[in-house]
Amino acid sequence: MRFAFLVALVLALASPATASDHIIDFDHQVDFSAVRTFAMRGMAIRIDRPEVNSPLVQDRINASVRTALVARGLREVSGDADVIVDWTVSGQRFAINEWGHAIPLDDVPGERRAPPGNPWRDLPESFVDGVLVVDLTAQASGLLVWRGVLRNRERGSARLAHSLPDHARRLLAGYPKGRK
Amino acid sequence: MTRAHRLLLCACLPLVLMLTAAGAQAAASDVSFDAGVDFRAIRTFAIAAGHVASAKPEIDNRLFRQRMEGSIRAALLKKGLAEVADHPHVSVTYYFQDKDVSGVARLEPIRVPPSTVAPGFVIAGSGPRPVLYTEGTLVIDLADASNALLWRGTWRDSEDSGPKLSRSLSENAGRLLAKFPPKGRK
Repeated sequence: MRFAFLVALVLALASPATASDHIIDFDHQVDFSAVRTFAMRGMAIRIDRPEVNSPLVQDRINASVRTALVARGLREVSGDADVIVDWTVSGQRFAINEWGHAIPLDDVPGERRAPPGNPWRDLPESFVDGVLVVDLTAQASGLLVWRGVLRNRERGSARLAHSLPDHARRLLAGYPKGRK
Repeated sequence: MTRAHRLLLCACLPLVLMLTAAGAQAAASDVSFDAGVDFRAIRTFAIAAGHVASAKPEIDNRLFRQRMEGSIRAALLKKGLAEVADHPHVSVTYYFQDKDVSGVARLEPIRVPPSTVAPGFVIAGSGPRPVLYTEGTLVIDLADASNALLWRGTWRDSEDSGPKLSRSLSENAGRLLAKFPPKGRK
């Protein structure tokens, strides 16, 4: 029984794992307790898959961002806001060839990609690396004052799409309310 | 510990080691300096703009630069140097670049115990499976007023996630500068 559990554990660890990791940076010179209002500005999904690049996913991420910021005591306004919120979702889909190599399936500038004419480009998607970036920019100075970046590896685009709203919430849980 | 427990332990250890090695995060650092310089005379510093060659959003932004400068500042202040705006003894500049790398990991079958004659069992291997990681190189230079290089610290690391690399960069900038001034030259 224990041996079976061990084997199952090893196989689970050896397969292409799903994983996520995030980091939050903010301007330590900014008094975030004085930030009272926010406005949503730019949002972009740069993964060319209908499961991810959809107005429904966009709405769900927007709702997550709004809920998280309101829970931190900020108020959404349409005009002059203390901070402007932008977010982007980008990523790269990969196939795995017969030798275990990860073959990029998308042409994403600055990211890993398969060279033109690569015969493995038609392989099915095995996993996707997604990146969610949430930025808060001070309207007065135009400077980036808070950035959260979450990288997530999922077994497919649909799973990534479902996880994005929760990831936005996780990132904004690190908003330094009341810290100077 | 029973024989079964020992066998399980024998099986687990190499597997854990192999799995760890598959996602290896090897780091290495190096320091070089001008042996003709009296580092005791260096009392002040200024931080120049850093040079970051990365497309990663967790690294290529002003908040990351601010964190790096904070780490460099804290490390040098701890060494007793003072930060000045004009005429510093040394100017500190950092450079960073990264590269995405794609590899393959494979787990070979393991026989427990390794002896081919003793009774035991074989744990099947697995893979090959892809391993994606990023190699980063950080260089911190201390130069004098004539822009002559006095001290250089280099740090290389491979991490399997951008956020991890970003975090370790500022931490390791401090660790590199902990080696300043060179030993015996304080």
